[in-house]
Amino acid sequence: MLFNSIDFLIFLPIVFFLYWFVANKNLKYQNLLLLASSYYFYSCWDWRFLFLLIFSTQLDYYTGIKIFNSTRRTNKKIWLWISVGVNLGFLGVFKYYNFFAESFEQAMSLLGIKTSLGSLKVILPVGISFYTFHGLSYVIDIYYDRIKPERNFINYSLFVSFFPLLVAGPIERATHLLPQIVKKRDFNYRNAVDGLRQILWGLFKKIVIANNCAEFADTIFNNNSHQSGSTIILGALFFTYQIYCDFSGYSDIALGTAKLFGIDLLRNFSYPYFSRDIAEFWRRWHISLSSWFKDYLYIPLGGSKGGMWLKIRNTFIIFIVSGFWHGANWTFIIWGLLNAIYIMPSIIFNTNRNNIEIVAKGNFFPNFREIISIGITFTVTVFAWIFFRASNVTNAFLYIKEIFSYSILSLPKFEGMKNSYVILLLTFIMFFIEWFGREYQYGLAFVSKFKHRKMRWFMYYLLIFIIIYYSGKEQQFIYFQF
Amino acid sequence: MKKLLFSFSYFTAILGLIILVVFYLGYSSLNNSRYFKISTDSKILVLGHSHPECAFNNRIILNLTNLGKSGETYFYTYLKLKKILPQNKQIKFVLLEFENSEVDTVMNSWTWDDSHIYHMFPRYFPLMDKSDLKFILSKNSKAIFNCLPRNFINEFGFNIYSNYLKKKGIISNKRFGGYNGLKRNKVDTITNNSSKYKSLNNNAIPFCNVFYLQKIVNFCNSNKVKIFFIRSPFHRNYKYAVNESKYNMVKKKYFSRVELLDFKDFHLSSTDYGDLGHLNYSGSNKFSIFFNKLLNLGLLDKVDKATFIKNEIHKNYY
Repeated sequence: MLFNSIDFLIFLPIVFFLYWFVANKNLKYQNLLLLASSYYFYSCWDWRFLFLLIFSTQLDYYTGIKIFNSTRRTNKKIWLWISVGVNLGFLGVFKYYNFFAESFEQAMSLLGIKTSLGSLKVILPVGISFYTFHGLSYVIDIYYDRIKPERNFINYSLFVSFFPLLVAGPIERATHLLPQIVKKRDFNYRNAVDGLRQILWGLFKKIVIANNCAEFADTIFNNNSHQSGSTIILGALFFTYQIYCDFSGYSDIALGTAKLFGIDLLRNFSYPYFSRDIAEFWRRWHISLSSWFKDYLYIPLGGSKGGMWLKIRNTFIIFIVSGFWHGANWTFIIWGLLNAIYIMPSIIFNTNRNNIEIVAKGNFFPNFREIISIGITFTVTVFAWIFFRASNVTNAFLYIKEIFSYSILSLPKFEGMKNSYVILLLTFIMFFIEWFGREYQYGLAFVSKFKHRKMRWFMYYLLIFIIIYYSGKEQQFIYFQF
Repeated sequence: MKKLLFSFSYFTAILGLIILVVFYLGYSSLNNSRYFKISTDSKILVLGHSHPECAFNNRIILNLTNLGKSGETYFYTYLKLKKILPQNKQIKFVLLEFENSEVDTVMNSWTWDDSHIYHMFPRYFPLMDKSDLKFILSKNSKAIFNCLPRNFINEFGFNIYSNYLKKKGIISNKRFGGYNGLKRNKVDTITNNSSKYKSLNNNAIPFCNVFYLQKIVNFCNSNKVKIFFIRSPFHRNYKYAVNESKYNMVKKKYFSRVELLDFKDFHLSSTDYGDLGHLNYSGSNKFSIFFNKLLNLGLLDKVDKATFIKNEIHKNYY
């Protein structure tokens, strides 16, 4: 079930109604209802993989308790590695086996040895990268005595499988979400309205901007050899906005939906394209994943405490692993590597925490230096997205080669891209709304400050009609494949 | 909670009201008598999918109206015809394209698969009665519900604009078909792949298409309008040409009483085709001039039309 489907439009009000009107008196029933709804939500995609989700949940629940109950450090470690091994094993089989097998065969053939490991014909269970990381963070936190295990299986299962975050995050932490699950939740009008508004903004970004940019980006990326350099750049820009609006749109819908049930999820995006350097970009893009890697990989590897070389090594490791997390393809690894290179100056000159606050805080316009910094950061980010989008490394380099030709000076062509000007205009409008709202949790939140209800509602109706106009065929979210 | 429910209901009610108004105006605009009126000089109506749409230039054939429409299967043609015939008593003949692709099961997907239904359903919905609606809902209700919001606003908004504000009818806005002179010529870029099209030559019949074709024939008969099948020219490498035996079988088994005006062997060079299935502007002009000549020679009144056509083609081109 997709957030941008009619099914979800029916599903959500039903769950909301049952949650606040039928199960309202009892937290246990509320959690049970949310869990059942979450499993239903997941099974709409493929019910067979529900067993994998339940198995993974049971494993982490059980190993969490075992780790906590073990008195000897060695036993704790054994249980931890069982959980980590099995979780990563599943991820490895479903997501990475074919990649490793193929890469191994290619490497062997370079040495003149012919090998055949075969390939697995299995589909990637949706959300496996996300719920695996939920479970891992839980057992690792217990191992390091940061939290105590959750004894109630329903509560723990809900932590892993809560439907708004189940298939594409945000990657929650037990320290943040579990306390909310075990505590009685009261209905809050402002929170619910804020949730609905955030859902509306997420739908606008997904249906209007991301889906349309996707069509144009696909048109250009799939026919790049016949395009001018300027059109190729336009294709990369379309993808840049596609991936942002797709994923941040999804996150907005997830956060908004959770708010309707009185649950506050981790923020996943904070206007990354307004970043002044790459370090800031990574504090604002897919925040829950970046902080996960920081806490569970970068810091255990020694973080920045072991001198400059260790810091550089660890930075490269987390960026390459992060790239690999996105998919079993060399393009993602190069994308991660590029970002590691981008961030190096900040690491070496220790300027990576120069830009903590949002740009031009308290002012409407940024200063000249900020504009230049944003422009440079945005440009290098767009360049890196080419690798993320390309189907393979060769295509990525061919695409880049096409950019650097004389035709870069010509006007971009919009052949086969119906209504592209309208979409460009709507993307600019979205950009400006996000700029207005950059000091809030999400772009549209500034509308809550309008004094007159008529103004607020006018804005909502306008967005709804644009969404309706551009709705139609359901399109999956990009991050479902990760 | 009460506050939220009240605000939400109020908000939704206004939204619903706006949508209802758009829906009502859009729906009723196609159901007024003016919309489907065509020229009183038109005695012949051409219907079908993109083949006749690209073949019959009604600037050349003056007493004919071409309302062929790309991607239109007989289900949708029937809906259109139900509106046109009662309002245009001057129409004496309907020429309906019946060529090889019409007996291929691809017509099922053209009728109800997602990509087609998204475009066709919202446009033809105002023309449906209960049984038509029931039929299409039974085939792909999910796609219909998914395309409802966007395409309804799109279509109905256009209907309102076209019919109430611009006062344009079916002919001028081409939403339900009309002559389309293709400027392209892709024949030379398409290699001869007839061997791979052999798979199209199976025995499966698109019963939905045949069923609605029968309804069209019956509807014309009940309105005392003479109906002919027509097969406009296509390239010798046209992929559906491989199912000729099935085509003949369907024609003979279900529509033996309907006469076929067959122009598949009409002489044209490769440059006269937009692609293997469609004539381009040049091809349609050549064909239309020839067809107009045949009409003037009394084609529709001839007893043995097939021989007459064959002889005329031979006389003019060999």
